[in-house]
Amino acid sequence: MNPIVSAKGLSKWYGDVIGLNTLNLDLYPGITGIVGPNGAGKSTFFKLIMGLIRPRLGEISVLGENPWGNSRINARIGFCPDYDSLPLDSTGRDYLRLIATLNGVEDTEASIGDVASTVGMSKDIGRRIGGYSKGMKQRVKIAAALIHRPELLILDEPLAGTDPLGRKDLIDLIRSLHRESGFDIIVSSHVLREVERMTREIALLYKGRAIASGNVSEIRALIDQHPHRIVVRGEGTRELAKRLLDEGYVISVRLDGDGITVEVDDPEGFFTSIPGMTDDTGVRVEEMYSLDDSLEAVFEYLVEG
Amino acid sequence: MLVENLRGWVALVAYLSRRTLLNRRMVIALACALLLSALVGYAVSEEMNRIDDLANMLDLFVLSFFLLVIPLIYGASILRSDIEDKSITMILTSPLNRPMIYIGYRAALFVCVVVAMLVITSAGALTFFGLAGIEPGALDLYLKVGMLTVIGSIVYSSLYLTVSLITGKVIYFGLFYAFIWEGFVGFLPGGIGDFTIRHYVRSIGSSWIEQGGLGSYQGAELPYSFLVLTALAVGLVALGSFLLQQKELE
Repeated sequence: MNPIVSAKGLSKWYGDVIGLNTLNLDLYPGITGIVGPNGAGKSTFFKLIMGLIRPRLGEISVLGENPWGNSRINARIGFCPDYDSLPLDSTGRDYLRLIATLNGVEDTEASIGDVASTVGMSKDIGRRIGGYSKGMKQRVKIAAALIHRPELLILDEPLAGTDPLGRKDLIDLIRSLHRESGFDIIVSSHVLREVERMTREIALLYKGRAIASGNVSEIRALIDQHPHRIVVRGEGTRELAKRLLDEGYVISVRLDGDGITVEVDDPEGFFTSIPGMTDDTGVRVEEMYSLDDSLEAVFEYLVEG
Repeated sequence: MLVENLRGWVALVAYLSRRTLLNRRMVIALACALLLSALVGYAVSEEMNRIDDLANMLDLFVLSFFLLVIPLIYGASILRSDIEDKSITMILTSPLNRPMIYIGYRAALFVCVVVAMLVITSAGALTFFGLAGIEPGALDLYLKVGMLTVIGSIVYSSLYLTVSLITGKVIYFGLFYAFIWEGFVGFLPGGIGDFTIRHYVRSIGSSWIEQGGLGSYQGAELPYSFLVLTALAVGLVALGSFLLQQKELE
């Protein structure tokens, strides 16, 4: 399968600030989540994909073409930027009409009706954009990205600033755009849990580099190369801490209020032996959980690694 | 593809023109200019030698003031503000190529400046005609000044739009150019005035208009003036297109 986006040694910097640093990354059809903290280079990467900026070093290929100075490729891509770029005085309908016409859409009114319905804005599309909520603005931006039926959708932080209910709806929308309409989607976020709800394919960016990419499960496998942290809460956990320090797989134990945080390099060994140890020490465990169940932890580990 | 692009380009020009003309601050500025122009029209209608005074009024207020200021007001903001608030993203990510987009902004700016200039010129002239009646030659004078404002609008707005891609301080540049370079340095002896747009606009005016100071202006030949202004406008549009093509939206 050919990658839809391929970056080779891609670098971009703004004065002394590094946006991307020798990024090597191939993204394939489907939904791919680009994950990283603020300043990781996600938006820079998207601007390079859209040909809004040009690389200082390296190459980028989008749908087999170089995007810089290549406006034809824009007919094949829909872009939803992370910043507010909407004309607040226009109505949603007027805005979409302009975008549709700019993109050479034939039946603009029918297309507006279709995308407004897709993003759940049919009722409000005739209202002034200035009166929209953040979630509605995000929906209109996504509608604008969809209106010319591109092959590839680039959604930069589409969930930013939306309320929990709005986030859930947008996540469902993004999933359905791929599942039901067949769009290939590249979506960025710094909220890892939300990306995980959209896709299993992710790329982790940090300080302008791709530190891992692939299926979440594959990335999780990388965790085994790193220590795990497990929190145990209950009565008598100090005794348990002492006992744990004798175990070879324990790296460190930190006392934390009424509980302990144990860092281990063999979680399997820990979970196998913990019932016996609690019996031996008489500890009453009320709560035990791993800090590493979420994608957040994967990211943290890989960054630290 | 060409037809779709052309349709998109026309939609872009219409959108930018409408948005700029209906912008609240621009409407207020235009209303003030209209009021001033009508006031001057009234003042001139009270003079004795009215047709010469009308010519001088149009020369002073329209060709030497509003023609420099109105393109600056519109030209400084139409493209620059879209780059600064990044709302140009939706346009740059369309299939229109960047030179076409630049020319679209250029065309919209031309529409806005010409509409504003003709409205301002008409406010003064119509006030004058309303109060003093239409004297022989007055209508002809009004139409010729109207044509001069169209020619001047093309060149001045090309200048300010192109400069707005080079610097965010286009207002400062424009004020310097309009009031220091054209308004002061251009009047120094030694032919420095030949390096102003105003010189060539007035040169064309002196070939067309006989009344007032404009009629006696010693300028360049008519074809040469046209050639200089055309070359300048085309050169500025080409430079602007190139600059937008190279522009990175960081």
